Amino acid sequence: MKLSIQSILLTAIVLSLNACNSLGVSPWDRDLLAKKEMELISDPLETATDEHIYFSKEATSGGQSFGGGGCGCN
Amino acid sequence: MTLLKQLFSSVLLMIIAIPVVMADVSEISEVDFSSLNKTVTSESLNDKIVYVDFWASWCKPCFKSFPWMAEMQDKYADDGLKIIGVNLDKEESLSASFLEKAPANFDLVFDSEATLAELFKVKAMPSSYLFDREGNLAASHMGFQEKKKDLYEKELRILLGLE
Repeated sequence: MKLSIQSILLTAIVLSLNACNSLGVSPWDRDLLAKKEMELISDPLETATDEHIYFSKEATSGGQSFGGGGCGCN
Repeated sequence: MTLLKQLFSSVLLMIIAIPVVMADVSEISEVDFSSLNKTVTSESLNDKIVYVDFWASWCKPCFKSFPWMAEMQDKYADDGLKIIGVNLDKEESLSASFLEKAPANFDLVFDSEATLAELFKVKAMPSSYLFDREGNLAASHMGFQEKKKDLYEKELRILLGLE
């Protein structure tokens, strides 16, 4: 059977019918991600303190992640 | 390729795609527990209210739910409640210390390959699925909250015919 571009396209569309069902990690595979060592922020208290310092002392609007401000205007 | 052949092959492809899209459980008869645990047969589940709970050793709400499930199994066993705890740890040994601290008086099925989890399309841990006496899916819950314990029990009582 000669594989035309039409049949390839049709196959691709039909097989993608599961849509976004397979995005991300399955709930039962989250065992390693649930470990304390795998948390995105290793020290939440310290990070929160740093953010507060950046906001109040250096007057950056959003702590570590947002540039801007500097004179208390926004 | 002729139009008829194209049509035929596209219909065939769509039939193949259906299990991928629509895998989900509406009747307990669709589920085969006996291949993972010989004692859980379809006869043993006949005319029972079946509570299927997906849990794992690393899941904290599961730890909270076990004493409650043990209590329910004890209380309503004579009325026809059957709880099945499906473990989704990668290895059975990982659940040993969990079960020491939170013992189970109900049937346990060890599903390390997650075949049952994929069949039920489990979206959260823990997840529970309640089947009525005819074997139809009556309710499902994602997660376990202590403050909702009475609500969960009420659901059980309604299905058992006690309320």
